[in-house]
Amino acid sequence: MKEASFPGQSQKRLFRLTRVSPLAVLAVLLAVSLGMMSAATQNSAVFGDLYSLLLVLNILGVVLLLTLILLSVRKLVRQFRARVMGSRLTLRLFGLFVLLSVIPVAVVYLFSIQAFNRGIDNWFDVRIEQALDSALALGRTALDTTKEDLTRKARDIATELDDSPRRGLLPTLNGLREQYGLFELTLFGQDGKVISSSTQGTVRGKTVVPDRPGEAVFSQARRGELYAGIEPLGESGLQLRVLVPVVPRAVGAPLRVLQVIEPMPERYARLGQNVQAAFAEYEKIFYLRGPLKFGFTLTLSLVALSTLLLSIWAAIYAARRLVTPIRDLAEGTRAVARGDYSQQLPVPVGDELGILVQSFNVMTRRIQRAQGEITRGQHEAEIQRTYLETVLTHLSSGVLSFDPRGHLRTHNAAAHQILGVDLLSGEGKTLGWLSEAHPALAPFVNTLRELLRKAQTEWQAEITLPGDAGRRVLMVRGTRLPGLRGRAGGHVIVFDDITALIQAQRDSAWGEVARRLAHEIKNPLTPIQLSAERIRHKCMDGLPEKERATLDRATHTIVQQVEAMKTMVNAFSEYARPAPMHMQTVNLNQLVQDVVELYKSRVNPVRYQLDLDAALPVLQADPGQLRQVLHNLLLNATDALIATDSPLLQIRTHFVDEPNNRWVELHVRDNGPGFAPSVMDHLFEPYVTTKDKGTGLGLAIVKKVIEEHNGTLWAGNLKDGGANFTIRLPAGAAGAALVRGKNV
Amino acid sequence: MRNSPLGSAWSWLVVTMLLALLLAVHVQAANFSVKTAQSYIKERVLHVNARLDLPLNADIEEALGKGIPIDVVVEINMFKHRWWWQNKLITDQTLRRRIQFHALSRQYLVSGLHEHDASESFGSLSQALVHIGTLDEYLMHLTPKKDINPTSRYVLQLRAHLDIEALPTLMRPLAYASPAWRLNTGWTEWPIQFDQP
Repeated sequence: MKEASFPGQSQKRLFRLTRVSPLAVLAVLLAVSLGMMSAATQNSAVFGDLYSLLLVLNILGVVLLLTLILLSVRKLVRQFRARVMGSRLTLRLFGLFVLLSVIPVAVVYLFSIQAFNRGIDNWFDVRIEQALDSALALGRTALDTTKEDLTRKARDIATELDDSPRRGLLPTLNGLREQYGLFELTLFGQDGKVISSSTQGTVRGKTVVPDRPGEAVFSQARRGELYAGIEPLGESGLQLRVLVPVVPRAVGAPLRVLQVIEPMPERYARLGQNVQAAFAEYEKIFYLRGPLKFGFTLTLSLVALSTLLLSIWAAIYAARRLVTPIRDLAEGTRAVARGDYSQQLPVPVGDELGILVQSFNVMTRRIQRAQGEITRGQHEAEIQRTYLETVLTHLSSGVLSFDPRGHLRTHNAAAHQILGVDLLSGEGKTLGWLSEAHPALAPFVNTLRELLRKAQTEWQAEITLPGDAGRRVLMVRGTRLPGLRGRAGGHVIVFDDITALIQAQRDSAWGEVARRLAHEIKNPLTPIQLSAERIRHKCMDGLPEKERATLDRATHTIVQQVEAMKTMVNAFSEYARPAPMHMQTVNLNQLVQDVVELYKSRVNPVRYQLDLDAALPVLQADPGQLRQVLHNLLLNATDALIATDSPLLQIRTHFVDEPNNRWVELHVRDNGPGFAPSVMDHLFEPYVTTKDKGTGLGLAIVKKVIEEHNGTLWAGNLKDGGANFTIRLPAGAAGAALVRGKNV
Repeated sequence: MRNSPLGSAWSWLVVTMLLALLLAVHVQAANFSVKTAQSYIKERVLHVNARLDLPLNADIEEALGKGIPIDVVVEINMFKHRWWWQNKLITDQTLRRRIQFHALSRQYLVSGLHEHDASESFGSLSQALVHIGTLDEYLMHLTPKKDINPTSRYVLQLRAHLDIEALPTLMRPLAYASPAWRLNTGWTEWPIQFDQP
């Protein structure tokens, strides 16, 4: 079971991973870029150039995260509104998690901001600032002193130069430079071109390009104003530059400009630059305090926001993950309540929820199995019931069952047939209904009622029912059904129509009687006859005429009567002994015609009317016996028609061709007086006759022959007077085979 | 869902942000501008003369006074005019000048155009800015490969802006956020003539 569920689980885990990964990747990227940004804030050279890009990336990341979370929250709220199972719990857990994460992050964030704002402010000390300011001021003062000194020197030199001719200017400049101990002296014309220049070192034959002042500075000097400035020189040098106009004494002579350049002594310059550098750095840091705070706050805010958002996202994820099995369980339980037991939930790994879900799965599996067994049982019961019903339907015995209160519950087709009643409408009704609806069944109902009241476990009874087609005898057996918890159950009643059986028993008894009678009576008859003949033979001659005539009459009577008795006994034994049958194909129509022809030839007032079916098939039968049957029937009819005015005898053959039912029918009808009701029941029994003559075996033999041919016959009165015999013989091989089988 | 408080809050946030952005774009005081520019080609050399007005506002002057170096970048593009398609770039040049305050000497130092040039010092900021904003016969040599045809029209594109990326790292977010620091002439176009003295 566990192994089978592995692939599904791993797939699910993979799915979960793929769902997680985009956000996880985003989280990692965000963390990395935030780290880089933090490094950049701390003036890291590596990330400094990327700062703006990192900032934008981080803001984008946060916005993306925010969007994703908003979408998730919106989905949650939607689910909550739609009352999706588990959404309420998810939302509650989510809220709880968010509360748990937001408060600490917010507290830490606020305290950090405050702490480091204060910390940055504490870096800056007023005393240091003052010291730096003072140092700078000191430096400036020192430089200014030097500058003023140089300015004075420059003015003096300008005064000395004001009327010096153009020629021999360079030696003058050199002389003045050396006299004043300066680095460089340059004289510019009004147009800014160098007139002459003297630099320290040129005396040794080197020419140095003089340092030109800036345009603005030069134009200031050209306007007659003095310029004195300190200029930074390279990384650590400082130089003084002074420009003074050299006003000519001669009117109309062009204005010239003298530039004096004096580099600061190296030590001075270095000290000055140090002060400048320290001051500049401090100022810069002081100025950058605001942006630094802003930058740190920004970074921290981004970190806090990312943390917060990630924890919110984690809260959503965790809440969902926690709630999923609970939701599954709730849905599963609902499904089970609805009757769907096929629920199998995915098992979360490890924890108690997993155990719970596993138990749920086991439970539903068991319920499903039990449900399956119940269904199978019901199905089997149904099959059993159908089976019983089929058996009952095809049972030749009638079956009725009653519940303990005597209401009809079950009945079969045979019961319906035997009783001749539609029992369907009597379902759930008591026996009273049967006797009310069918008064003819009153004896049956009464007997049953009596027997049911006695409440025996098993009983048996024979009930005779009067009917249109004669008396019928039913053999009824009853059994009490076992009831639930010792209470009395209903009854099952099984009954058979045994009229035919009784008839057969009676016939067989008759045959036996006849055989014995024949045997017992026939034996003494021959000695009696012989003795009577001997008496006549011996005593005839010795007797007088008168006695002789008496003897002759008496012995003649004895012999005659014994002869008659012999004939009668022979007839009986003929009836009783099963005659051997010689089966062959018989054309019934031909047979009928032959027999009727015999009767027509005699002096006979009876009119014969034949209606023979041309489609009649040939029969497998004993023609001699069938001929006997026809003789007996015709004889019987002819005798019955003696008192009739215009006697008519109709003989009709007919082929009944139904599925599973192929019969040849023979009807013999007369227009005589018909049968008396008293003989109707015993018509085919031996020794039943209304005639003066005859053995009373004619119809009994007819019946015997027909039954031996596996056929049936019945007799009845026609509505407009006259009697009717109907003989039905099986047509075709089936009937013949049966007959042959019986014969063997 | 559209009428939910969440949705409307979201839309309000967006509207507010958009408004703030529009406002930020509009509040721009004195900006850099190109006053005039004139250029000509003579013997496969492009001569550029231009006067740029580069006023600095109080925020930047303060930062400068506190020792923060400010970079001004001048970009020069030369295009060949094409009526049927986009103009073709012939050559381009980026000039970077850095102004820095020297507290001890109270001078504004302006770095040279090229890396090895010595920096120039100015007694006042305006002098320094005028110096930066003046392109006097700036030469751009057009290599023989460049296709120069006197019958074609050529266009000079000029732009100057304050380079925020050159500021100290910490200042950049603020500078980007504040309109006072976003100083830019925008692209301006000037015709180029041939063989003018």
